Amino acid sequence: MFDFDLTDIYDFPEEYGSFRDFDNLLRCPICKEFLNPTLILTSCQHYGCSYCMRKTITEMNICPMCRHSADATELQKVSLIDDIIKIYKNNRKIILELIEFKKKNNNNRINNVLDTKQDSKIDNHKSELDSKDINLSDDGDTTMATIALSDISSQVGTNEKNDTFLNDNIEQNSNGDFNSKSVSNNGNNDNDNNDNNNNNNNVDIIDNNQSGNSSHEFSSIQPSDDEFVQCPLCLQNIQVKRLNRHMDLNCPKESPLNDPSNNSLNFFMSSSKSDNDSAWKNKIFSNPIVKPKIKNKTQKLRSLAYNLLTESKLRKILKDLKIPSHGDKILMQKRHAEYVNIFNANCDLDHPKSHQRLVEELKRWEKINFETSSPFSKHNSFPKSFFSSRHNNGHNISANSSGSSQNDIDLEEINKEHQSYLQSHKSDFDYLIKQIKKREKKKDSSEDKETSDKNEPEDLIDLDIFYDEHSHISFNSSKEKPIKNNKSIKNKVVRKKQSDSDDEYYEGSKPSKKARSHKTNVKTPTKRYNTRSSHITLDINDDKQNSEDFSNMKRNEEISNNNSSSHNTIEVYEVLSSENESTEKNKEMNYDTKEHKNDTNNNDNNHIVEIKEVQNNSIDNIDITKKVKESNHNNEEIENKSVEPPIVLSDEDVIMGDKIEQKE
Amino acid sequence: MDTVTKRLIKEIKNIQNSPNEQIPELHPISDDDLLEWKAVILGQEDSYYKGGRFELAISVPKTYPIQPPKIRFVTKICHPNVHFKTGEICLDLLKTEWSPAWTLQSACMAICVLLTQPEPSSPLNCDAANLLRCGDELGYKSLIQMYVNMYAKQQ
Repeated sequence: MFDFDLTDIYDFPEEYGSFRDFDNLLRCPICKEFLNPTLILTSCQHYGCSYCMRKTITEMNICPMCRHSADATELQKVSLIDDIIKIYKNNRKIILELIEFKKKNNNNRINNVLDTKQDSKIDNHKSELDSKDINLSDDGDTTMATIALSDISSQVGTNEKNDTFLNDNIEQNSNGDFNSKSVSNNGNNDNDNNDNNNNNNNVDIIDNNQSGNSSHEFSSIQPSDDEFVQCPLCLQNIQVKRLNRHMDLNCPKESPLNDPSNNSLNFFMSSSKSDNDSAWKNKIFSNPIVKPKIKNKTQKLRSLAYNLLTESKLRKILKDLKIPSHGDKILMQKRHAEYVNIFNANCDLDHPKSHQRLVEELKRWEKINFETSSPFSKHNSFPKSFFSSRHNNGHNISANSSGSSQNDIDLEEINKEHQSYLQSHKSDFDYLIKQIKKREKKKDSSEDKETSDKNEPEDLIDLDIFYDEHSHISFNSSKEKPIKNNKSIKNKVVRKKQSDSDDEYYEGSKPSKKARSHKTNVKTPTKRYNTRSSHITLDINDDKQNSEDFSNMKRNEEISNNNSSSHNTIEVYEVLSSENESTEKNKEMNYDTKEHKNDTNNNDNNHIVEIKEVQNNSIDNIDITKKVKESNHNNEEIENKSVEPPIVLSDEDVIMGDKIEQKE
Repeated sequence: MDTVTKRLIKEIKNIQNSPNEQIPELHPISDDDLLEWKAVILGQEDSYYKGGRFELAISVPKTYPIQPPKIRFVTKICHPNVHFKTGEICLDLLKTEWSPAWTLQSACMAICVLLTQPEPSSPLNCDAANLLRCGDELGYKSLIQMYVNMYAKQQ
């Protein structure tokens, strides 16, 4: 089932238009549901749901109905309407049932009347009536009846229905045993009847005859004064004690048809004869008494001047409110605004929801509004049954989808994405892990070799995976001839194809590369290395500027802590092998670098800055490098040997994880 | 269930119960996606678009009804405030003057009214708007009717 009611004003049939209007008045003009809770704008007297009004006013600063400018402070609660809605909601179904029952009843009655018509001799009834009138009046016993009859016949001459009804009665009494009871069937004039009629047995016969024609069974037992009976003339339901007066007044309309509430009430009273109906009676008269309101004293939240807040301050505010505080400022701003709406609307409720539920609602809202990966249509999928039952005008639509299952679908989607991501990049992960392990091994085996340098060109290729755009750019921009063998280029191409993961490699590679660069500086103080290190030192500066970036911070720490990490000597080989460079390959590299530039431009503007800085500051950087070198010399290499690899791995993992989270 | 879905279901019921003569069709394109709607509006008898049958594509944003639905003409139409190629509609009610109390049906009604009351001062179709601004009623009328006959003739 849906987790909300599908009722609307069209549940009421067209002839009960005033009920539709009434229903409509109690509905929010925005969400079209019953007001919950009602807020009214004091300036223009327009009203709506708390959440809807707040949302509209925060978004547009207008009244949704008249578009006058409005402010959230003008909103005021109207608990009276809330109480009315509460009672109305409870009894709405009963009213609908009554209307339906009434309809059925009416149909039956019309059918009965039609039947009677066919049976009676319509053509002759007038003359018959006259003759009977005379006969009866001749009969000394039935003076009262005659008066009543003549009265009625003059009144109802125009009314076909009543005519036939009357005719029927008269025919049944053609034997001259007529008494006034046949006309004022269940009337209050028992004494009169007894006085005027000696043959009381006939009452039963007549009643039986009537019940044969009509579905409304009139019991022979006299009803009490307060009970409702059907007027024999106009078929209206009238209290017994008022029946005589009613007939005396030419059957005035007791319950005007344009007042359905009255109608249905009368109807209800009349139908209270049967036992079932007493249940209705109880239902209607046992309305839950509205309990006195306990004022919700929770302070409402105020909207903030987001422009005056810094990102960190806003984040702190969100944290203080115990709501998610991730994302950039704009996202946080929107989230806070939405939370203020939800929270304040919740304050208006008589029974506020828990904070946890509000956060859940907030998350759902965020998912709907800011999630682009999964198409929205999936959230909306409805079983066909809903649309097949479109024309039933029914509120009994059943369906399988619900709010809870929707969440399940979302989770499934996320899981699927997770798995597909892991699968598609499994080889990469494996490769990275393998590399790390390999390096550790190598470190152990070739510790001595490291200090002495050179050899192992295979490692160069392996390490290339940790290479990044920075290095290429710096090579290129500082007009040094970059050194790569064919294999490394191939590697890069492969990497580019994995467009998504490219950044991750890039991010992940940073720390290790920096560490490597320091190593380079220490080991081989040639001009070539200077250029390489110049880029790296710049990188450090850059990092310092972007101290907000978490990962950069981390890297900074790493660098300052582990200024030299000796296991990266392999890098030295790579740089040294640049002596074998060929100019042809250089061209290729340039092309490659350009592409990387484009990539980096798209991904991170910082990169562009770096490129420029590398060009401009290459000379300055040499000085910085020297300083770095000195500091590196002071550090003990061996101590830090084992520190680096695990950090690299963990860092990459963190970034990978972040990526996955973002995708969610 | 999110608010937009609830609201749209109510609107569907509303449309079924009180259909509008001007809008013979207004319903979601597929049962699976409530956010994409199709509508057909008829040219009013007293307008130059008489006898025309224009299809509209309605795209409901997730933030509806706070944000207005995006409506464009699918059928080619010559109108000062409708882009001839894209079908984009320039109507303040669908942009700045939108109110959450409006429904898709009322938005379609507004477009029906726009057909009879063009606003040549903010045109998307300059040719039609210029004819109107220069007071060339006859030219304007015949241009519109030509396009109605070409693209929007009722079957």
